[in-house]
Amino acid sequence: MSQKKLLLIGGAIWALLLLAALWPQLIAGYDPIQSNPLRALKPLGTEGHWLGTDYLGRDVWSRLVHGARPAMLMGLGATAIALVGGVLLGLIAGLGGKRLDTFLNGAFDVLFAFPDLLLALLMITMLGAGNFNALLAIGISGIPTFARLMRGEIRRIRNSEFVMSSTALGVSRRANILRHILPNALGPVVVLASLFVGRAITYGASLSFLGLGPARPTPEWGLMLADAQLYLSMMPWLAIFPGIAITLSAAASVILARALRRTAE
Amino acid sequence: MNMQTDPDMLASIEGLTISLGQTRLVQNISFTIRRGQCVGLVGESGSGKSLTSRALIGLNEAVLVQSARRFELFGEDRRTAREADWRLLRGTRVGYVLQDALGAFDPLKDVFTEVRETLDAHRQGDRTSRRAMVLDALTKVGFPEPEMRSRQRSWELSGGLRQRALIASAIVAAPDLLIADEPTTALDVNIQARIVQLLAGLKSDGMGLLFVSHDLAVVSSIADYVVVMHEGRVVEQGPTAEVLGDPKDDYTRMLIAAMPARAPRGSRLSSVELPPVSRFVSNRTETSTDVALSARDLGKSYVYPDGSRVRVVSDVSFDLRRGEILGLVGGSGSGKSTVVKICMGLVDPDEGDVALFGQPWTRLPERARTPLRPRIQLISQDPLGAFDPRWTVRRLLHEALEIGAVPLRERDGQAEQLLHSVGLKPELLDRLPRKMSGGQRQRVAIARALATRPDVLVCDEPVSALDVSVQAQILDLLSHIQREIGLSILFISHDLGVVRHLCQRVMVMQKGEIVEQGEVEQVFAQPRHDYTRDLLASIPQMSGARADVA
Amino acid sequence: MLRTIRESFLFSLFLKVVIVTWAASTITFIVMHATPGTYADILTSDLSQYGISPERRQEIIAAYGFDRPVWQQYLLYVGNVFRGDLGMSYAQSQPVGQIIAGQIGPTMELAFASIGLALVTAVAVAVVTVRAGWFGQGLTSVLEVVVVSVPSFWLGLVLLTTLSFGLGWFPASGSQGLWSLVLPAATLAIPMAGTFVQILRPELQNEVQAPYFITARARGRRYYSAVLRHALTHAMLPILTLSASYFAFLVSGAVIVENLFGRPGVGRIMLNAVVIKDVPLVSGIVILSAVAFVVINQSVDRLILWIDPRIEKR
Repeated sequence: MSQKKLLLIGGAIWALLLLAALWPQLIAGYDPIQSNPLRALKPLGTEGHWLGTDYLGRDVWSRLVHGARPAMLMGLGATAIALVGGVLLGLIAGLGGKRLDTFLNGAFDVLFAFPDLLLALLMITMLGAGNFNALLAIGISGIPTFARLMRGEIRRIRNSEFVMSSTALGVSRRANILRHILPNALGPVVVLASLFVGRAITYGASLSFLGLGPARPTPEWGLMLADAQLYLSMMPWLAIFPGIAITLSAAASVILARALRRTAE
Repeated sequence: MNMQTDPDMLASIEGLTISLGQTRLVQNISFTIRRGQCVGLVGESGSGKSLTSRALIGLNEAVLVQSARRFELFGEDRRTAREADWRLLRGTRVGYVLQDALGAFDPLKDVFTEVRETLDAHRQGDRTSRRAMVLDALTKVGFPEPEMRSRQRSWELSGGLRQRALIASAIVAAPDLLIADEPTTALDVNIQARIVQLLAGLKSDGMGLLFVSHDLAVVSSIADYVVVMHEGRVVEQGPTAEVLGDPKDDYTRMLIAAMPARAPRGSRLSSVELPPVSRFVSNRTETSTDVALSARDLGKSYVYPDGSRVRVVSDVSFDLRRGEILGLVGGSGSGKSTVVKICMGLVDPDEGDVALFGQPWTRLPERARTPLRPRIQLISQDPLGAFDPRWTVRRLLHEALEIGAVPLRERDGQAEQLLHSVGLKPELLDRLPRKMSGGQRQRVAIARALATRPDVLVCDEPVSALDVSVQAQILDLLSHIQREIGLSILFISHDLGVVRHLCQRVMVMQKGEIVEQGEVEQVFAQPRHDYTRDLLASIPQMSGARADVA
Repeated sequence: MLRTIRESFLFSLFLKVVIVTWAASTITFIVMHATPGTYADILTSDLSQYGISPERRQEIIAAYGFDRPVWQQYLLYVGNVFRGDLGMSYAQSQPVGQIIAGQIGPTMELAFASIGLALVTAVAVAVVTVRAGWFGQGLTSVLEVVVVSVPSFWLGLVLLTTLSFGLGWFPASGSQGLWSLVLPAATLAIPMAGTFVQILRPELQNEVQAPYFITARARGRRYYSAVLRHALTHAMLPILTLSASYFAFLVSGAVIVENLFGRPGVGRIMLNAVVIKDVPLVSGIVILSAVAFVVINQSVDRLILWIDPRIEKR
């Protein structure tokens, strides 16, 4: 499969996800929360419920569609926190004086030593479970990664031959930073951000799968998976579809990151 | 099959064509190599010379399609040879020396293991005999203390030693034919001469040699027979003396004329049109001093992470006079590049200082230096690395014109004029430099430097990455510009021929010190320092070429 | 010479461990005190719902000096951590260190098994596909994207459903014998192998274009023999460099996989501790894994330097 096709597929998944997150009613026929015990655990292909229903009789397709919103919120929200925090800290370290850089870089190194999910779990231990807390925890635990990348890029470009050459040309320090260093440094950071969206969605779903995310009956993919565990041998599709939804959104972000990297090169 | 035709015939090629899809990269090449003979394959980048040489060892990629009327190695037809057949030949009957020795050695393995590899791959001999053969080969190429030093890795050796070791690795199994692809490029001129000597020795021992190079002079000093290639075709071939002494083809003539070492000093090397550049004369008037750039007692040391100090520049003093081209010559690691960085105010010297038109320059803090920077501009060896990778030529020139205080609305027009004055078409304005040829890029670099209307130009090996014919055009352009605007140029090069052609005065640098300086004629005619003498004696002579050089 | 290097390496490692331990204990302390709720909860609320008796609560308050000024608590806490005392678990009346020591074995087993599996798979795939035509590469590049995107808890579920419930090949849970290790290790290894291949293959493709590779072939090496002897070592270096991220992945993965497959291990007690707010246990695990990270990362840096000493010169 060519890169172009892959990119097309990635774009289509993104469009679908955004549509589902913004206007879920357009593609989902049923209320994702209202239970209907009479129609519980219908198999695949049931009329009106092509993907079946769960143990409370809720339409699986509708719950999948409504699950896009919390996933996108998690992905974009956590990434925004990690991106803004990391870029700011990285900027300060990369452009600041030697001593400040040494200090901050040491701090990033130390923070980086914490596996990010553990950092998130530590924060959840304190803040308690819940959607917003999970988002905050994942976002903050991503800050060191972004900060390190940003700082490294700035320093690499600052010492590169072309920046030296524009200094020799007579370009001022300020202009050098704004015109040459920042725009070139941001490229890899944007790539990481697009990768991070997928990672945050996966982490968010993991947390709710473990019972540390939003509470039931929120239509959330990780929660749906957790609920499906009981019916694994009988109705495995209940676990298959939410997994596919998570995989697709993560894959879309990987594909976007690849495309961005390619254009940056 | 004509197995028993001629035992001295190593390779016999007729009508070799190599194509990629519909494109013919190499077309209809024919030559023969005999025992004790050296065939020189000469051409610029893209001429197909490397593809041709790799065909002789079956190492071209499978996507390339080869055909030939005759393709015989050691009397056997190899046209239908498969990978397994080729493998038996590699190293044992055909040795191969690749362009840069630094890359051709696996940096993670020591030299001994690498030299032994041919024997390992073909399972020749046992442990002890392999060891003896490796040491033997290393001794043969003049590798000092082979037992001890071959335990080093290639990057710990000097360029010359590394090249010797690489040759040893190619001849360890005593092949009949040795292919050397640019074996002396990137080496300092005196080292280059010794490597050619070594190869000539192997030739007289009866080895057949295919010597691939872009450098006509080097080839002429060893080859018995020359094949000149251009864009995949042979334009001329014959005994070396004939081809160089009486070139029939225009391209060969152009190559010979483009060599600065041969042409009369200051003469034109190429025949390209040189447009006027007077528009970009510096408008600063200064009468106070005749010295553009004056360096006094420069010294610089670098400290490595492990705490060791290396002194790269010491006691360097010189004056660049107004309107002259001053050459700075030296081998790799001589400290030339550090002198350039100090003169450009990019690295602060530990001792001494540089003055620009009698005013403080390196002593200034950067804030005070920036406004003076338009007066002194840099042209570096690799212009691609010197440009912001995301920027088009237009933006690059606009930025430089902005530094040169050209108002916004005039910048577009002036950018076009700049391109015109370096011989480029205005269509190139919206191109990215990485999508241009090496010569075009270097022209853009010159245009960018001119945009600030400088008084001083520092050129750091500006032509060493370019093909001879392009090099000739750029040198012509530089000297034309220098005469038109009256620039002062500090010209750094490892190539004595280029310096001699272009410069009025020259300094020779070795191990961080200037060992000799003076008028070019005088230094070249009567060198006083041993190092200068060694360098001059190593310049390859065009044997058998017409003696039209003074 | 060698001796001084080793000494200086151990010294710098020691220094880094000290700094990270201090930083980690400080962070956990700050988090413990800065977040509303928990600290006050312990002092005031009824903890019996978490299985903590009122007497136990008093013990905790006394042991941690919760009735003393904050700076004293801080010094007490950090001092204890440096002495190797990570405190007592709230929920189990046992020192945190002991609890972790009792659970670390199965987790290490899982970690080594999955990283080994991932490396072997990745190297095999990369070496086999380095020369393949565009079809093979196109297929693997799609597979790579999918494999790195699959969440490990779902992958585990799928493996369970098909291979364990469906086909009955592997036990669904427990930690008895090598057989029970296969599914959990594969769950972690598959996404990791995907990431490795993504890095390895382009590296390998670059290396087989390198002059030293062509030279090796010109000396008569077979293509794949040259790949294994020369190119692979170079291509593996970036993977070693990135080992930090795999450590993080393994730790996070252990939390998920151990719970999913009902394996004992640090990940399992971690999740439990988070749910019941057993702060000392969570903090202890966080501190220990930060220290483990530093030790692993420094050792890998050392290893890379040993393989490729050029780096020191730069």
